[in-house]
Amino acid sequence: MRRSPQRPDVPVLVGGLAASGVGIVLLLDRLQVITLSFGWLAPTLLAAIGAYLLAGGLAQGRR
Amino acid sequence: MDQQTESQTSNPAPRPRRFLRAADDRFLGGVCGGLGRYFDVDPVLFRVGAVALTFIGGITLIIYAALWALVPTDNGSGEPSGPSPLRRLLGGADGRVRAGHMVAIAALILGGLLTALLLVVGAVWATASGGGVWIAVLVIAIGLAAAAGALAGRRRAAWLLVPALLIAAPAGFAAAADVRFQGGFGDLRYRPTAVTALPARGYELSAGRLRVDLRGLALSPGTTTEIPIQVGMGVATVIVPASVCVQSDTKIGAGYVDVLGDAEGGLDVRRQVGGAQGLAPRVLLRAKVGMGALEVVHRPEDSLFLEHGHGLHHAVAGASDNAACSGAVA
Repeated sequence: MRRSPQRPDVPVLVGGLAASGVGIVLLLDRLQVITLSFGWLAPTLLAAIGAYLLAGGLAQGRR
Repeated sequence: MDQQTESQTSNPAPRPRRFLRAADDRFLGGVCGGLGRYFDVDPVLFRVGAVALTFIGGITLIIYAALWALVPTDNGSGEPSGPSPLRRLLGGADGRVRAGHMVAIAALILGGLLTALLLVVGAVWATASGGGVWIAVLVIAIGLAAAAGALAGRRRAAWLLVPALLIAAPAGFAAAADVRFQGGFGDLRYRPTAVTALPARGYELSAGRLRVDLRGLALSPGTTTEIPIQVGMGVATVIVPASVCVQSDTKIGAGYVDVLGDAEGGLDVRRQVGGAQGLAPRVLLRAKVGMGALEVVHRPEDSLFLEHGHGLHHAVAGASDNAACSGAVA
């Protein structure tokens, strides 16, 4: 079944927003608002990837 | 006959006899969906494994790209819907390989790998050289572009997440390790003989090896000489005479520090060596290393990283060679 061209692609939407969120964390670190360490980096990246996978799984469950 | 047809359509798709990329269960190219269907397991397992292995060595990206290029898509009944992307690229829709397209595909693969390498190296380089703000803005822009594409229902917008990850992960690594490219590159060696000859900003290395030999440095008893050391990526070796008490405050993003046997390694390492009794001259090392190592030894042959070094002081497990700090060495 072909997806309607107007229908939002939820997993990619979540992935894009998650990538932007990671970018914002990087920006805050570079602007010295926060201090990024590995203790923060790994959970941030994994949360972003996890959100993308979760959204994909939920979207496929609805189809 | 109708009943048979109805029962066939209500059953889930049969397990294919050959590995094909999934057309309906896909995030990017349908490779993990196809693997899940072929092995009859949840494809999420393959997806999570692929992401985890990407962080370990990145080999997954190459394997995924190869499977995407070589394996055709399932048409929904366990049969290929057409030739694989590679065959289609080499010969068109009929799948017949044409030699003329071989150069094109080779250039495409090489170009893709080169682009990925450039993104990773460029992200680290820019972040370490003070351009981290622009890298962060670029990641935000790519993420928003992917989100906008997704809202418009463009399936190909998913591919924007690949460069976003290739830029964000190494830039984040460089930022978390606080890698800074200050100073020179390569093999830098210094042997100061007077305190006035010490550089005001300390010794700086962007990437490579730094060797600071303090054995000829004239130090007065009871005085403390502060020496800052900044290393972006690489190894710094400081050689001090046994008559000098070494105090240190070291921050290492990812790597290893060994101050006369007082050693620690890992991520986000902060190690302080202090305490001084007696009148021995003191050297206070304030070191920052992004990725790499800092070692302080009495002799070059005690080094783990210098040529002809054997790391001899490690023979005394757990013992520190910083005897001058306790007044044991005159």
